[in-house]
Amino acid sequence: MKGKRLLGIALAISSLSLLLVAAATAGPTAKRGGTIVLDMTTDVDYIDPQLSYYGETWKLEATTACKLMNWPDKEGPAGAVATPEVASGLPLVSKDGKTYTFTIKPGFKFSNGKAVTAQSFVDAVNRFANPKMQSTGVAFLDIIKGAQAAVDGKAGSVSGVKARGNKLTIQLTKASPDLLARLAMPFYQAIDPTLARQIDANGINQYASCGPYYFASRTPGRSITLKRNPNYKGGRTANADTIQVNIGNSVDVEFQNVEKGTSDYASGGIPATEWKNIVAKYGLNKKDGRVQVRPQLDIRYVAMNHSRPLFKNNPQLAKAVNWAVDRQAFSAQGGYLYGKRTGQILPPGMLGYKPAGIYPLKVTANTIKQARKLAEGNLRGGKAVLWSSNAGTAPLQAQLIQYNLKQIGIDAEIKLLPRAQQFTNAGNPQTASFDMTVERWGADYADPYDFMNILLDGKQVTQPQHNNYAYFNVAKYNKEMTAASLLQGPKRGVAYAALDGNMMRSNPPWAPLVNSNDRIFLSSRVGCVTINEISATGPLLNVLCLK
Amino acid sequence: MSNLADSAEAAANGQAVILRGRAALPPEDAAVDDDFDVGAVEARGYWEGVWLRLRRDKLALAGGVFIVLLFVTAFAGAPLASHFLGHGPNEPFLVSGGLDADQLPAGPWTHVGKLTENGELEQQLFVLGSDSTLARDEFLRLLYGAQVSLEVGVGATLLSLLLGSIAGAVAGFYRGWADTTISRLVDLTMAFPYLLFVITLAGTLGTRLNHVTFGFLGEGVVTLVLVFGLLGWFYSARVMRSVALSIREKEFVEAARMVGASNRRIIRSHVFPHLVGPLIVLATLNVAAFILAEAGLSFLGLGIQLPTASWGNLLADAPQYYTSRPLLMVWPGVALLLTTLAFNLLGDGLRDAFDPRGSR
Repeated sequence: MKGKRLLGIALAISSLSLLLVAAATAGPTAKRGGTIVLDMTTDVDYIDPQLSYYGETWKLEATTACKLMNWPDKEGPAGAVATPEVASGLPLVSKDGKTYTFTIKPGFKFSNGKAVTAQSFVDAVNRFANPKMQSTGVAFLDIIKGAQAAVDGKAGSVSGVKARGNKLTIQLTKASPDLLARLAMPFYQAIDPTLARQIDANGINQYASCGPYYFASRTPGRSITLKRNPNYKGGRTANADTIQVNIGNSVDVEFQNVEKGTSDYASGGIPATEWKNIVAKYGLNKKDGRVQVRPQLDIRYVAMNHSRPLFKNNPQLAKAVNWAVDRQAFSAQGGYLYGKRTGQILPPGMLGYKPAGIYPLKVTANTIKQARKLAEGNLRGGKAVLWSSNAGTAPLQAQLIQYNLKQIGIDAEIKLLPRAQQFTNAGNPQTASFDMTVERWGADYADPYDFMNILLDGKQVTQPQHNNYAYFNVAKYNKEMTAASLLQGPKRGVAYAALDGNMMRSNPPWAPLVNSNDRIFLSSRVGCVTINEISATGPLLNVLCLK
Repeated sequence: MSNLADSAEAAANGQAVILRGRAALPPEDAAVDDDFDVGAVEARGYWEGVWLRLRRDKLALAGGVFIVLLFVTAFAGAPLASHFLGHGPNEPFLVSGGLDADQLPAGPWTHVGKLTENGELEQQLFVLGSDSTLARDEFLRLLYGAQVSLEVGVGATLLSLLLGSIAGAVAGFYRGWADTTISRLVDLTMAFPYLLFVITLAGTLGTRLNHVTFGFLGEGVVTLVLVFGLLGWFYSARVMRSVALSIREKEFVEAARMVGASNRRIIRSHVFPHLVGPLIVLATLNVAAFILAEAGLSFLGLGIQLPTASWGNLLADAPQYYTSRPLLMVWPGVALLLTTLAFNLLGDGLRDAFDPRGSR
């Protein structure tokens, strides 16, 4: 008996010791609650789920949306697979690959208490396709049966998307290997019936959402507030009570704010010249460290407007621009770890990427000579309008491009615009009064379709809003892009690689410049840093916590 | 009759009453002491008096000298410096030396390499270093920026004073409905949120006018001159109106009217000459104000078109490097400070010099 008592005491002591040791050696634990503060230099385009198409908005919508399929809140390969979220599992797919049937998982609720149903997704697709919404992303609907008729105003709803009880059926016009990835885009998130009725091309600034957070308020140009969805039971993390976004500070102010801890994440970036210092000061990519850098499926490029006289049927000049642009100097404007120079459309890491080495990544006297030779006789007056963002290093980069163009005889006038205005106007045929625009594209999902077809398929250019900023519309390539999109596996990669090489070699729509990195600077107040570049740039805001 | 009128006007204007030595003394006083020689007492003309008073104001003179030097440096020195240094103000030097090992703008007195047609590197000097990560010559951009600042400052001043003095003179001289109309227009212009209006105009009108350079002005200068001139005339109009109101009651104006001078002639020959003093003072102060306004607008990205250098856009780029290259804020900042100070000192000096009752 005594022995048993001694044994009990010994066990209790050792258990207590183990607990103490465990507590002492554990890292700082995630603190639930509090307010995470973000700084953005410029306002987002919209927060409306069917309109927003700006990386900064998607960063926020990654916390507010609930989708049929979503990217897990994980880093690396684990986060790169589209996984059922509101869908109870992977869909049943018909033999011809054209019909997908999802079963909706019960328990998801909007922030206003209403339940998420299969109809919530039907509403999203119908609102997305509604021509009165003028959504930029309608190109992502092209594979859904009846979507084009709705987009063209010939049908009131998309005939290929139907809800019956907890079943959602999506019918496609062709078998599409990237449907599940597309469904993880915020455009397809569930919307509540109130929002479904609100059709407004200017977007809605407050609505109920079904992700871990919802948009509690937005003051355009000033602030956005996200609050934890009180009805959320979906299983995703929601650490902070509130995510506060302050808009309009310069990168210098953002940098100071994050250094001081009055803001937690410089979402708009910091001065280009500071990256090297802060990497030296805080280290790079440490666990929960303050400075994180990740490659992303992204490209910065100069789109040459093929619908305007300067570049219309003028491939020699487009090639000359590719020979003239100083990619090294462009990258240098962005500062330390800005990215990797490129001369092709697809970024490294993307299916179909194959180094082609068509254009020089460094300017020399010979490259300038070659550029001049190509431009000679093809300048058509030599005047151009060059659009660029007015934020951060973009004005410097625009001046560099302007100088490069001058070397081949193009006198470019720079027009600086707020970023959201730049791409919105560039994607609207009525307002696209530019010859060249310095653009950036981040992958919506990891598939070459999202670069080639979305950015360069000529079928888009007549749409009221699109992403083909080069207004590139060549029948041969349109056909090849469509054919490539129907392929699967390695064949798909080979087809897109061939397209990339052929287009850039014979009729370049762009002057690709840099595949940039996602550089993240966080305050000392925050931890729980998880980055999933497929889901959104920056740290996952729902996971980010106060230490 | 007309001689009489002219001399009456001239006397009142203080322009031609010249008393020379003994001839000016009353005959009886001259008879008192024939041996007393008062010497040649020469009464001074109006402009001579102004100059004498101005000459005593050393600070104003220093301001004037600085302004003259600034004009010479900006319009003659900048092209000369560009010629001798072998490059232009908008040329990036990214191949060699324009950026340091940390990819930051090179510091003052750096030799940079220029890529020649043969692919060789030609050494050239950056006196004040690079302006940004585009690695352009800060010294040359500062000099060419002075051209832009002076073009905007002087152009806008001339336009605003022209409009303001005509409107003010007409309002003050004619009074009645002309005065009421112009005064209310002045009130209306003053009540406008000036900066917002300027930003709106620069952003809309500017896109159409930025290319107008007349072959020698910087891109965007005409826009700013028009915007500042059209919105900055009210102050001079008010000053001119008050001067005209007081002058129209003077005896020489009455005398001119008495001898049959027309209103146009009275305004041209008798009112405007009296506006010259206040106009010059206002001009010096306005130039400084417009130079600052240009810097402000360019800082906001609405002024001078890129890549044309102006002190405003040099200042706008500089904060990116405030921790690593603080001198980039100092150069255009000091240039602006000294220039506005010089114009203000000269303006203050001229104001005192034009006021014969002034204490100095």
